[in-house]
Amino acid sequence: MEDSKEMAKVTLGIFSGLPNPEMILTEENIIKYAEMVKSTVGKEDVYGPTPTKLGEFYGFMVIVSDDKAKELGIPKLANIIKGVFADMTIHNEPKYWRDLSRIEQFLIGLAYENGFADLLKKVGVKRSE
Amino acid sequence: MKKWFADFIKKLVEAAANWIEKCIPVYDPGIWNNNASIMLTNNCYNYGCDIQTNTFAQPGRAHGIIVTRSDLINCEKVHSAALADGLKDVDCDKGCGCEKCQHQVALVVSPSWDYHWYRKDRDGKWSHKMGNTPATNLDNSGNVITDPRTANRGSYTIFCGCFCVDKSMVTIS
Repeated sequence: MEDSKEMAKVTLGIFSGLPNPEMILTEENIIKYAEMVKSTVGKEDVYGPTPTKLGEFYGFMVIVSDDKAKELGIPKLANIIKGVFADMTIHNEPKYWRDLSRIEQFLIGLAYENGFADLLKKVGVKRSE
Repeated sequence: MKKWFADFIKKLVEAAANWIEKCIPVYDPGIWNNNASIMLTNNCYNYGCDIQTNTFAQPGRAHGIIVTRSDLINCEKVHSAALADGLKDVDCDKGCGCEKCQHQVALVVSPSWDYHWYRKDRDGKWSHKMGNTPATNLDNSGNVITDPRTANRGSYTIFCGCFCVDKSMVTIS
């Protein structure tokens, strides 16, 4: 990431053609995210989620800057969808972990707060009560 | 006919066939999927055109045209944007022929939501890349795509038509 302030960027996989919405995590939220990730990775390995279909939600893609990922000890690239956290640090060999910390719900909450609720609802992604 | 002349004609035909074939992309998803940066920054339009810009290319953007969700009530805006980039309309059944080095793509629209592109590969089947996800040759029913008009496309219900892409004449960004 070029901007040093953009230590963690989340892309919402909603569109195939049009640009997808993005969120920049605040320092506080990066730390929350990192804590959840560390409580998830290495705990319960699972198979990868079923492949997404055209028009479905493609998941949250989280990119953390090299320095921040190293500092916090978390993957610099991850995809979270359907209750599965995919560590994509080694791109061709993703490791899948059950999302025990509810990272997906955390990111859905942030997306709602960032004004993406309507978009997410249209692809069937709802915030849990 | 003299044998040497028949051989010459045969070689000429083979050379022409090889040249045309080389213009049509091979279904090789690894080119798009094996590098995370390439996978994340190239979308269906990049894949359809077989041009990696790493910018999530948008039809028309290279020529000052911006397509938004509100434009997608039908095919009109994204169609004209693609033409501005250098794509050429073609009858889906006739294909792109062999006069130029080009391959065929198809445009579909999810009304007031999004657009999507498919690409016809060298094996005659179609493939596509949904946003920042891996390229695939399967439709929403898990079937190999033999015709995007009849493929399961989910909410992308409007079939806009087919185009020819001559990569030397197309500019996308």
